[in-house]
Amino acid sequence: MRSANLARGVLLTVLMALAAHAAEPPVPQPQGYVTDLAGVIPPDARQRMTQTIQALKDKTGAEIAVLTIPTTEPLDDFTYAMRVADAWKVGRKGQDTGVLIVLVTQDRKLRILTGYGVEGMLPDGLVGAIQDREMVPSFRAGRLGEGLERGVAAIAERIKKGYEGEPPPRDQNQGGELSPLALLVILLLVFLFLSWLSSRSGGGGGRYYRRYPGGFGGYGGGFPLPPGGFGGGGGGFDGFGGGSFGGGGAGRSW
Amino acid sequence: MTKSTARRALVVLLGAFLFSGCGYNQLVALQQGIQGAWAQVQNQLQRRNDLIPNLVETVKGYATHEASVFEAVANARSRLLAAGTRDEQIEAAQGLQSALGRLLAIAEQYPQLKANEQFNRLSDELAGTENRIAVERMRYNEAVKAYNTFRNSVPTVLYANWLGFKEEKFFEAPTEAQQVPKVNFGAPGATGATK
Repeated sequence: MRSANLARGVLLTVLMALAAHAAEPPVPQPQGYVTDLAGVIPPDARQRMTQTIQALKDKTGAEIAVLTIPTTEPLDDFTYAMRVADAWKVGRKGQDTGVLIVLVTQDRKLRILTGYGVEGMLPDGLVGAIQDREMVPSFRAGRLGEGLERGVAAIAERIKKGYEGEPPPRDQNQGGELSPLALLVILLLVFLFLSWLSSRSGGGGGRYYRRYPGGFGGYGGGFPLPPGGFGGGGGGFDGFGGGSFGGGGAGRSW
Repeated sequence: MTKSTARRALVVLLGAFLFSGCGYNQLVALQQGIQGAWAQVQNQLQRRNDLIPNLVETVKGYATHEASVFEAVANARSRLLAAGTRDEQIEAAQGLQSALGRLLAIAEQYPQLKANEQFNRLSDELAGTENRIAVERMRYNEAVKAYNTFRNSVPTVLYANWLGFKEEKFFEAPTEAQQVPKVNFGAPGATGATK
């Protein structure tokens, strides 16, 4: 009887430890500049934010990442945001010009982290002021997407000002772009592949209809390519630059 | 003649064995890593020290009756400035952190202060600096751990003392600053939703 109780106690403790461990939220894969795991950003707001960030990156090389997540329990928002920042490496490599905005919807927390290279343009006090003025009022009114959009706009504006008078950065990463010749070869390969497909399955591609009940539409292009094969995903997003973070920034709850 | 040559060869061989073959170089490299990480910690401690006078002045303007807290902060700050060795600095930094905790706690009781723009900026700067200290402290402790692990494993442990490599101390956070993580069992869907 007593040993049964003891065994139950031990089992419970182990289970609780496992549950606590399992509950630690994993660091997600970025889905572009805006990763909306909590599902609170309307598509048009997401698109405008992505445009703002892309424009900022083209002009200055700096990057802003937005992440929404329901909860970070059992971690606090700062620890979780630092893990994401270390994994995603937002900002240009070597310059560390990245900003990470994490909105935790259930915990009602907002955390903005600044990379080493933008700490001068965005001191913690200013980040806090942007949160108080631009973001938290919208969050309190329940308009999460709007608050994020205003915050992204204010931060992008500030970084642009910090770069005023400097020539736009040259990305060393030009190798990532396709030369016209390579593009031609790829197009040719795709064409050959397509004609091979249609000759195999009698024009209609019926075989693939059976294998992918969703139809060809699921692959967007009308032919089965591995997802993301041709720069798919977040509209030209090909990962963050490689910036690092030292813990600067500010946080709010609302 | 032959005897002394042989002895010299032996000494050279032994020296090479000790100084390169068996981890001397790595001990030096790991120790350099600790020093680099410590320099970063010091930068952030310095940054915090520079913030304090402004913050105290702002709080003083509203909370005039809290002289003991101001004094504690000032004392802790000058102790950190006077600290010489790394261990002394770590201890003084911990004392300063708890004094600052008390300063921010009294600010909670003054609504006018909390509405003050200047105070909000300064407390954001302070909070950000505390976070930076926490990050650099973690990196420093990782460097110490790598060094200690190597130093205390065979064969280095057998002669590390003799070569003057002592075990390094960790920079522990003050107990008040260590928060017990809250465990939330009430959100079974939380992890599923994050993926």
